Amino acid sequence: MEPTRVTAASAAASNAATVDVAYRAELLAAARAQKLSADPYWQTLLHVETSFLGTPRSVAVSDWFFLAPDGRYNAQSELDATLAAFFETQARSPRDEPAQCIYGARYRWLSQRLGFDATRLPQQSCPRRDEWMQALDPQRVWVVFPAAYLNSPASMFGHTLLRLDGREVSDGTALLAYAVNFAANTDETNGLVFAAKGLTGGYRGQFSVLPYYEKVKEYSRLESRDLWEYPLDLDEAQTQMLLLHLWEMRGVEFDYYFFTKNCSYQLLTLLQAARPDLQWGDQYRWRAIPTDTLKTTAPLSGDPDYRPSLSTQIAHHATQLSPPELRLARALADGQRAADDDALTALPAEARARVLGVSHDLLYRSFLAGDLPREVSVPRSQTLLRARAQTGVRGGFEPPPRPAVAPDRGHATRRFAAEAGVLDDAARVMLRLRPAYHDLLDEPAGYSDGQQINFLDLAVGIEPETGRWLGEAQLIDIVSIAPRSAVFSPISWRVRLAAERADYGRGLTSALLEGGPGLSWGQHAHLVGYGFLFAQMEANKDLARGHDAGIGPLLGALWRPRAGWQLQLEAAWLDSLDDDGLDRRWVRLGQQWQLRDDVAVRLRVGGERRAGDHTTEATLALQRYF
Amino acid sequence: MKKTILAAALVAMMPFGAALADSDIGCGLGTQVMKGQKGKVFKVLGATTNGTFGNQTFGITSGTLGCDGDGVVASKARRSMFASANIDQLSAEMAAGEGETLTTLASLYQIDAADREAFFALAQAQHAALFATVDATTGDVLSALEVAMAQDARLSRYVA
Repeated sequence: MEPTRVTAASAAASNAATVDVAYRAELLAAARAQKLSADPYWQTLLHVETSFLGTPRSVAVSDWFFLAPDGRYNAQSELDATLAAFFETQARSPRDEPAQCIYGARYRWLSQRLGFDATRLPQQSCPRRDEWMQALDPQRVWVVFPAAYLNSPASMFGHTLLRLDGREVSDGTALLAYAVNFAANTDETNGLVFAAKGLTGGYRGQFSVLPYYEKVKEYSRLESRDLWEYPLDLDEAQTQMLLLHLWEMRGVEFDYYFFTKNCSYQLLTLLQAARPDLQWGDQYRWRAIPTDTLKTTAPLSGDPDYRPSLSTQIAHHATQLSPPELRLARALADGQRAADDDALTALPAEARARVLGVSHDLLYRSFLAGDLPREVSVPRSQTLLRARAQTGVRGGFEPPPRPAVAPDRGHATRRFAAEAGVLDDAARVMLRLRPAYHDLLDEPAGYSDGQQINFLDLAVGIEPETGRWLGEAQLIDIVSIAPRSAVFSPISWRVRLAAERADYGRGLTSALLEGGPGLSWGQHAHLVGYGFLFAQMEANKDLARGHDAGIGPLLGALWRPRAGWQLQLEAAWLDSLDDDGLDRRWVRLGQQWQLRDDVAVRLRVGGERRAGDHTTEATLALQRYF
Repeated sequence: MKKTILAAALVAMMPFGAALADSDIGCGLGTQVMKGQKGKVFKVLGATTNGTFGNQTFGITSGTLGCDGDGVVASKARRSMFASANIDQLSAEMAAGEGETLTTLASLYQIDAADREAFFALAQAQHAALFATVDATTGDVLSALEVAMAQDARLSRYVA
């Protein structure tokens, strides 16, 4: 970006006259004597991690971020080079600032540990950084978690960001805060390509700072995700360190991995610069789920604020209308009725204001979803808002209540189970591990209703009588049960990819891909019924052609008789598309009782008929969440 | 495709990407209501927003400082940038006479707590005048708002 690049040689040459070489050597020796390069805090500032092969290296990949040629792999030479660079005054490319100004967190920490003598190592002025820090000037720092959005279980993996409240932010003006965001750099709009590259490390991520209202707009309105904002306990010095380190990180690229080196993980590493006591051990080596990182920051965070999304508000506001009023609001939003409609003008002002408020929100939501073009929505929106303003009624809605359980208080995302059961007459015992995340029988508190995502559910077991080993592997199992209401009409959907033992032929392992669209009705807090058009593709050598496809209805219900007890009943009728294929019918009932926050009992019973063979199965599982 | 690559290259070359999600004119005064839309495909496939679409900034170009970038925090610029970015929400909240975005705009005008109710009531009463046409820009809306404030006994001092 910048035309000049300071080489080590030219820097040394131009500095030779002014650098206090003796003091530099003294500091280098003192740092070595104190073994500062091995200090965990130095490793934090460099973002050093131990790779799978056991070699420590920084996960930052921008060459310029390291002052030593081997700085990415060698914390000692990076420390030496950093101390040496602090004696230089030239602006470094590409940041166009001297090292003292770029590496403010390194400077402050080393200064604290080594007691820099300002007469021998003069402190340089850093106007750009000062100006930036003064503009942000955070009085309070928050961790913000956008919850999953309706009908998209994958978004539960979600995101976390920081909110910095400057002096401008007072009661009710949180929108004037700034957001600190870590994200992959991409122009990819194809979600599948994004996911594939994100999983395999095809992207680089970096930090950015932007107005918080941009993030609120993105999450609350465009994506309709509720936001949870957790205030953090950081004192002034810690907040300063956070900012200094963030400035160091400006423009630094990191390896980005969707599951591990993601936004939530990097946010933790940033916070660790402010709070070195923030520790997580090896927990995030394999996956860093945002809600898990909220548990890591929980010791420093207070009671969260809840910011309901546009959809949450619409749904709640709609409950404050009578059924005819809600129908009228929808007709106004759809353009079937106009703002001067008699049905509307006949209403008292308060009711009119509520109807117009909901109708405009519905219209706006349709616009954001791309259902309505701007040429249609803008004039209609202005007419509705003008009529709304003319009522002279201020406000008029009760805000949506905060869910009783915040996302950091939900069950842990890893689940281990010891199972005992019978398949027909054969007893079996199994051990099961599901690394992530949540299914519809798990305790729903703290999670988004009706959204299931199981990753890599693995089970091994044995039939004691026959000595036969059993194994199952489920790669992914996503279900979204989104009930339809008077306001929203979502399509539920599910998809599952698994390998499991066939109960026909020689009992070989089948590869299964199944799923389909569906509709559901009801309330998750009580009872929800659903129906899917369900398709299943199966590959197995014992099938006539080696593979088979079946399709048919799947019906089910979810019931929460009381807190801590969930039931799920499902039945399916799948007819094979192949004349020689195997039709499938099954009924399954699952229920779960929560014994403690982290312990539950699950009972599954089911019956299946396939090509004339009946099998019945019952399994009792003791589950531990960790 | 070529265009996209070119655009991406341009964004990458800009120091900390001056690119905003909506490309505003100047301080954003050109923004009209209902400009931003991500569309259905995004909703369905956008499983995660861990990715960002070419707008990585560092608070330098997008709102920390005035849009002229000279380092002076100009409150007028801040106001217009905020209003521009939130014009849809402002329009809805002005019609309802309350809301967080409207409260924030009041604070950007440095309106005392005691006068906020008057400001909210004025915004609601003047909604038709503020959003007079379908293509009214943020600049039009704020000018009309300031004209109305100037004529209001309690609020005139905030635009003096």
